[in-house]
Amino acid sequence: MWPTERASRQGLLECAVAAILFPPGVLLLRRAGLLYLDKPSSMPLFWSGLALLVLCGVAVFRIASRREYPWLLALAAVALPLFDPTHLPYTATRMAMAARDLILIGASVWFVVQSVRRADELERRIHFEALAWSYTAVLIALMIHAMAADALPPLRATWVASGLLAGWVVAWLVTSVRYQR
Amino acid sequence: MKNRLPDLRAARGWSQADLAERLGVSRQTVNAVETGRYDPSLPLAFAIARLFAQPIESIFRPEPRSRRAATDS
Repeated sequence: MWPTERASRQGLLECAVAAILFPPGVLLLRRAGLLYLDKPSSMPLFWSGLALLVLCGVAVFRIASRREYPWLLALAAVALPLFDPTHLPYTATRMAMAARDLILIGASVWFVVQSVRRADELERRIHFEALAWSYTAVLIALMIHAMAADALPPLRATWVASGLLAGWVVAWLVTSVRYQR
Repeated sequence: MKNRLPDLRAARGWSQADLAERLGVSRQTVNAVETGRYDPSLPLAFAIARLFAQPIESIFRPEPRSRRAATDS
């Protein structure tokens, strides 16, 4: 197992496949939705996007079934910038979509928290160090952005969340390897 | 912190994974303790001592203090 028992190379490969497939899958489905599904020309886009997301879902399921949660954190970092909340008026549909997203996020957070609680003392220490590095790096990036806000594009909250997760995973990888021989 | 964990483990013919399973930790943790990259918590140190039926101080011993640390104190 590399770099730890919590994350195998197979999981890394599946994570990479899912990370590559997820953005085009979402963009194709979004494009198909913009073209409206009653037009025949949008159906290939729809099925292609759906197929990519199903493959991505299979990879995520395989990773989750082995409880290799660090790779799921990496996937969440890739997925978050693509999160685009609906701009519909406050209707039942919008509330239902918000509830769906909240349930998905809540289940993900619960899974990660449970996995970290099951981890042994070194694994927890590695996460603690990784989170410290991640928060510090994102804090510095936010301060730099604040100082150059006029020249930079406006910041989205999902980018910050993605940066935190990506920083966590990268720092976790580096710290894990550092504790290995 | 130096330790005799590799010797004690080898004497019993256990792999790092075997020892990790007996202690209820990951193989990575056993590896990090053996190489001195990670000092175990007191509960884990007691568990190791109990497993090998030896006092903690015969398994773990602090490294000599560096000259800098001695100067600071």
